[in-house]
Formats: sequence, C-alpha cells, structure tokens
Amino acid sequence: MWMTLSGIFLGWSLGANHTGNVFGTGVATGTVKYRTAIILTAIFVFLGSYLEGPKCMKTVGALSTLTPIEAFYCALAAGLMMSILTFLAFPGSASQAIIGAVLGAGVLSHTADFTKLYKIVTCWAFTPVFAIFASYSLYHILGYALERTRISMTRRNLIYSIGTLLTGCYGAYCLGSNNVANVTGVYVGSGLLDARTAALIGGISIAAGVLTYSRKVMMTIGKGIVPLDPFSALVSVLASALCLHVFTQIGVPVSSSQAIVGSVVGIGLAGDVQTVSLKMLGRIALGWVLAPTTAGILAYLFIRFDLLALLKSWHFFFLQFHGM
Amino acid sequence: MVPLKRIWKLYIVYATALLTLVAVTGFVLHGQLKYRLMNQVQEQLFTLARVLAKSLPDDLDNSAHLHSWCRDYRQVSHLRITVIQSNGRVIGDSEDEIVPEDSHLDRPEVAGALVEGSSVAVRFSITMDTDMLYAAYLVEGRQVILRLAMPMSMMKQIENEVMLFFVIAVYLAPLLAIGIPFAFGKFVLSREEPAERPPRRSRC
Repeated sequence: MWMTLSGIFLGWSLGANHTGNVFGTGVATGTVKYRTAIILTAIFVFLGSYLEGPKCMKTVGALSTLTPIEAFYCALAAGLMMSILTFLAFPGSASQAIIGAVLGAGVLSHTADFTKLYKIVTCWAFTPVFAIFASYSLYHILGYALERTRISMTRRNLIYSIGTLLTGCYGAYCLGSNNVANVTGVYVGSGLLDARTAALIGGISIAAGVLTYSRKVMMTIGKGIVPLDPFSALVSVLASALCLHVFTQIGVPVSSSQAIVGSVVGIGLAGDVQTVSLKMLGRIALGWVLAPTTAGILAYLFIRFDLLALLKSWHFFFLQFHGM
Repeated sequence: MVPLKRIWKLYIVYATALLTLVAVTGFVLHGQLKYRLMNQVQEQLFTLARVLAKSLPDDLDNSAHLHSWCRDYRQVSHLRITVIQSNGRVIGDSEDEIVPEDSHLDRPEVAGALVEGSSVAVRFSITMDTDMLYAAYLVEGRQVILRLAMPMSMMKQIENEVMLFFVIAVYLAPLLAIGIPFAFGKFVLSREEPAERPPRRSRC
C-alpha cells in the first residue's frame, strides 16, 4: 500500500492548487468566506470523487500496461511536475502530467497504446473550446433571464451570493469526479487497487490538499487572473464545471485550469472585455507542452534507473562514509 | 475593464474554429484509417488464402499430412491456418494437433464462406486465448474451407504506429491555433498603432 503514497502526494497538490478554480473568485470578492469555501469544496470534491470518479479511472490505466511500482513512479513524476509548474506559476494540467508519465512508462515497456491516447488528446483540445462556448451561451442566457426579472439590487446580490455558493459546490463536485482519476487511476490500471477504493483514497487526498494548503492559490486566482464582476464569475465557474462534468461522462480526465481559462475567455467574448492577459495565454501554451513531456521524461528516468533502488544505495554509501 | 479589440475577438473565434475543425477532422480521419486498414488486411488474407488453395495437398483424408502442411505455412506467414470440411469438421490446424470433434459450421466466418464463398469475422479464440480476425475462403471444387486467422494485436500494432503521428498532430494543433493567429494579431496591431499616435511636434 505504500506505493499509493505518490498518488496521495499528487492528490494533495491537486487539491491545493485547483480549489482556486472553484471558489477563487467568490473568496476574493468577499462573497464567500475562506473557511466556508474550503469546507464546502472538500466535502463536494470527495463526493464527486467517490460517486463519479471511477468513470475516468479506466482511461488512465488503459494507456499502458503498468506494474504497481511503475504506477508509483508515474504518480511521483506527475506530482513532482505539478509542484514545479505551480512553483513557477504555470497553469499546468494534472491530467496532461499523469498521461505523459504513463506514456513515458509505456514507451519503456513497449506497451504504450496510442490509439486510446487519440481520444484523450482530442478531448484536451476540445476542453477550452467547450468552455468558451458554454460560458458565452450561459452569459447571454442567464443575463437575459436576469434582465427580464425586475428585482431590487439587494435581492440581486443575494441571488449572486447563493449562486456563487451553489456553482462552487457543483464545480467542486465536478473537479473531484473528473480529476480523481489523475490521482489514483494508475493504481487501478496496475491492479493494485479497485476503482472504488482508488476513488476513496484519491478523494480523501484531494480534500486534504483543499483543507490544508489552498489559501495562497485561491487568492492568486481570485485576484490576479480573473478581475470579474460577480455575475461573470458565477457564469465562468458554472461553465467550467459543466465542461468537466461532460468530459467525466465521456470518461476522459481533462484540465480544470484550462476549462476555467476557456470559460473566462468566453465571458470576455460575450461581454466585449479583455479577461485574460496575453501573457497568460503564453504561459498556458508553455504549460501545455511542458506538463506531459517533462512528466513523461521523469517517469521514464525513474523507472529506467529504479529511483528507489538508487536512493537506497546512496543511503547505504552515506552510512558507510560516515562510519555508521 | 479593458475593452476587447476586434482583432482579438477575431483571434478567439478563429482559434476556436480551428481547434474544432482539427479535432473533428481527426475523428473522421481516424475512423477512415481504421476502416481502410481493416479492408487492406482482409484483402491480403484472402489473397494469401487463394494462393494457399492452389498448393493444398491432393490427399485431404490424410490428417497428419494436412497438419504438417498448415504448420509449414504458419511458419512463413505467422498466421493460424485451418482446413475445414464443408460439413464443419476440422481436418487440419496449424495450432492444434488434436482435431476438435465439434462442427465449425456455427462459426460466423465458416457459415458465411459456405454461402458467399468468402467471409470474415472478429471474435475471441479459445485456442489462442485472444481476439482474432478470421478470414474464411471456400476452395471451389475441393469442398473445403481454408481459414486464416490473425491476432487483433497485430492490427493494433500497425494502427498504433500510425496513430502516434496523428496524436502528435492533434496535440500540437492547439499550439498552432494559439501561436499563428496571435503573431498575426500582434503584427496587425503593430501596423495600426503608429497611425493612431499624435504626430511629434518639431522643436523649431
């Protein structure tokens, strides 16, 4: 079971970094308190993981034939990659990182299945497209509906607050259901865990990341990237959640960061305002290339040189050197 | 809030349309590739079956001789070769020395070949313990069916090699969709902006 530790680490970092996509704008604008946001996110991420998470598990594990130790190295490579990208403030995707790592392992064992990869890559390309389309449509539909109802400003603000809470909970549910496969899907493919246990462990680890280390990223996303009004913020979270939910039903884990950026671009298109900086687009493009390739190379190297055996021999050498 | 310039609006619409187009085209091409690959392999199997039919031993009652004939050709073609009588009884097999007692008339490819002269089926083989592509060919005048079988993993291997290039193309498409129109937009803006600036006053 110790082999699931790398997956737990990946889940924890995913929880810490992706919560901002769900409640970031709500917390930054003061609509939702930070403590309320993380508790709700943790609950709904766990529910999503446990109830719908197994739908995407098969996809991750089917790309290559992995042994349990290879699965451990894949999750470790993806987790390290995600941490590095987060440190460098690149919106990297855990899905791309883990798929890259699994393929890296598959190339080494000659079991990589590129026929299945095609479906996944197409879904990745469609993620921002779907999010742009969804947010553009929702912005017009919900905006029209709100304009038609003559309500006071106080009541409108109340609707926004409740809406932010509800869409945040739905977003957290969809985040858990779609992204838990990235965390523990490799263990299902290697036969170490069954889908339900993997979803349980993954859900708990993501929730732990949300509860312990999400404040900084939440504020960064809320204030730095998306300076939106409450209505636009609500629509962008709803659109990206819908996007994740649709891809969960297809059974492909996609990037929640790319979904939220896509939906924010859609808001900009609908409202005739610039919502995403050009610098941000450049970073996304770079993250798009870096996440899978680097995770793939890392996994390849970890398995090729058996990282754990290497660390053990170094430790032994260290003890010998110090006469212990 | 900064208003969105028309050129960037066009940029987003163009990039989105390009991505959609690439993904949809990719799906259609993938389907076509699988279909054509399958047809090509089936055609090759039938061509080989016709060639093998010409060299079938004269004495079809000698089962040991037929088994040996099947094994010889298996070594060359790497395919499973079975000779089946028109009543469904197996009289030669490259994989199984023991002739099965059951009738093979219930096998879809055998039943199809008896009616149409040739037929194919993809199904699980208990003997080989894997999914196989079966191509059955009725040898006219001999009243036997020559059946060639290829593991689907071989098909998958060919498909896998081609799909690698497909995947790379689709994966890089978003980068091109973002990069090329972005450079174009910047270029257009750089040409427009100097004209909007007020002219410099001369010092004298």
